[in-house]
Amino acid sequence: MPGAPAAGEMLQQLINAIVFGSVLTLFALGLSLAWGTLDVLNLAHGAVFIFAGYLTYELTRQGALSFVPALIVSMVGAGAATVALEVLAFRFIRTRFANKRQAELSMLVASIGGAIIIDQVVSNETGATTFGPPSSIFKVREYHLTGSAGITNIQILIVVVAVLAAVGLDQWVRRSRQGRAVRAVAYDPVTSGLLGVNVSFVAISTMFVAGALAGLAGVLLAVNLRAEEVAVGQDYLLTAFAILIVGGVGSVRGAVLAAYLIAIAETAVVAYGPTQWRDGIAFLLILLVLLVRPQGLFAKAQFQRA
Amino acid sequence: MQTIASISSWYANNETLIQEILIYALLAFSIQVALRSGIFSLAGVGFYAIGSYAAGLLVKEQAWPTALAVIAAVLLCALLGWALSVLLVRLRDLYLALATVAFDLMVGVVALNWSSLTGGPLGTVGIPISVTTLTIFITVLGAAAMLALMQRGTIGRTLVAVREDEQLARSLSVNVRRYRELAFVISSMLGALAGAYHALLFTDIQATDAGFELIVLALTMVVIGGFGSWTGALLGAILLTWIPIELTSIGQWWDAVYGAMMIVVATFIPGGLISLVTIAGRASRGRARPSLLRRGSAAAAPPASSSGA
Repeated sequence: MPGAPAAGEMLQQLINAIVFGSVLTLFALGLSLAWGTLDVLNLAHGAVFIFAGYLTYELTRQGALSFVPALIVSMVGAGAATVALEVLAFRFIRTRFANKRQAELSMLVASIGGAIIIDQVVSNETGATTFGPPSSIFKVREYHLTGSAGITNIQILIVVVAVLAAVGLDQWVRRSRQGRAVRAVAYDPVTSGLLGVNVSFVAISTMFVAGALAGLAGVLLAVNLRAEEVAVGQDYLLTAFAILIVGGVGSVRGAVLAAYLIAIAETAVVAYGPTQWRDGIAFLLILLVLLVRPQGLFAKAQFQRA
Repeated sequence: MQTIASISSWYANNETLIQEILIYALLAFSIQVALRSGIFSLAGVGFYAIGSYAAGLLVKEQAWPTALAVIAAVLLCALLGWALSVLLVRLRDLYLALATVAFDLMVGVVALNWSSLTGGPLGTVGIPISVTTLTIFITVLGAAAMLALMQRGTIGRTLVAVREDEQLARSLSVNVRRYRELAFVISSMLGALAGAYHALLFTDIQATDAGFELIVLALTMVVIGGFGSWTGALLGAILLTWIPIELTSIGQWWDAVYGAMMIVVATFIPGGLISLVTIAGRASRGRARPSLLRRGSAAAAPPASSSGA
């Protein structure tokens, strides 16, 4: 059967793409939530993502905590770091700057400042090399499928968690009282404030959820790869830009679809195509989608924010 | 004689720093001229890359005279910048920013893969040093003069109108599209100049030179310095080139201090650091000329209410 190894190889690539897409989904959901509701393009999102992986590494390497408590503490830490930026910078910018465009600019620069600080903390504490939690905290088991293909339990966990998080976030924003407040603030912060929505609380809780989602992605990636470094955060950030643009800013379902689409495209290019063009896919998609359909491929209604 | 000697030795010690500041000033001008016109474009960094390859390769491979190569690079980028502005005409704000970031990074990816032209991952090396610091200094002066002129008179006020309220500007028969294209093209040309000089002064180009870090640096310079005026961009270029060098002396946490300064300035000084200089200057002149028009609505409010009472 000469076709079997090739089929197994393809299946393996597909599994890799789906796992990669799941991490991307978790990463992009938080970024999309913050931009869609609060008009914050948080450039510290990639740094927070790595920061959570670092926290798990720090908490587990001496065997202080096991996997689940470390995951929870790291997610809270990532959420807290994002909330710190909201409380120290974004909140003031939002209330003091009348001009929306200038507010966007200042938030961008403030979040770059935040990213620099977080990156510095992580690289100083890790000696600026790759780091990862010990293999003992999560017993990796591989299940063999057809041919050479296999899937590990951590990979299955990543996919399941990503799907659950996406469905949960979608339902939270659509159905819950808090989610309705988030959508109201996204539509019109001043009026929703007048109608009794606690805007600053909504902003803080939204940023916390966004940061915690980045943290979840960061910890799962750290446990899966067991080798992370500061520079990885930026790669994810740039790919996430493409996910937001392709999926439509603020759209949970769009972000999920776009994340898997881009993951499959990038994996296919690395496996079969001109490998060096991999990064180009995301940038080309951003340009093409913005030219042809600025509201995103999967957004139903045109949602003009400009 | 002593002073001249000490100045020249100071210059010799800091020549590279000064050259970097001058080149970054051109790049910062490129971003500032767009932002001031209400165009959130970071395409200047992509044209920095294209300009550096164009000028560097023309001098190295085709043995063109420096001036001609620089002019060709700048004109090429003016044309490409105009084409890009036409393509991106519908986009505003963060969407335009992301589209131009994608353009910049795409230029890098193309440069990395177009090995026959750019040398790919090895880069373009061995470009003859063909500009002097003085040439660049004069160019920066010229660019500053041009930007100063663009901030004044009819064109300056029209650009402000286009930035503040496009609809209103259009209703006053301002050709908004034309003005946005003008700002975009000038931004592209300034970016190309910065890149061309960098290639011709530092002799090599890497495909990763104009990456996300350079975009972030250029944006930071302009916002920290103040994007309302070319003086802010210049101040930002000076400070953000010089401060990191000073901060390295305080040890391994210098980056964190730098990040904290960025947060503080972006959050609490909306007009950028140059606005502090302006305020200090006004205070020292003892508010000799209180100009209602200049001070804007917020500052003009108290006198208006007192006269009404």
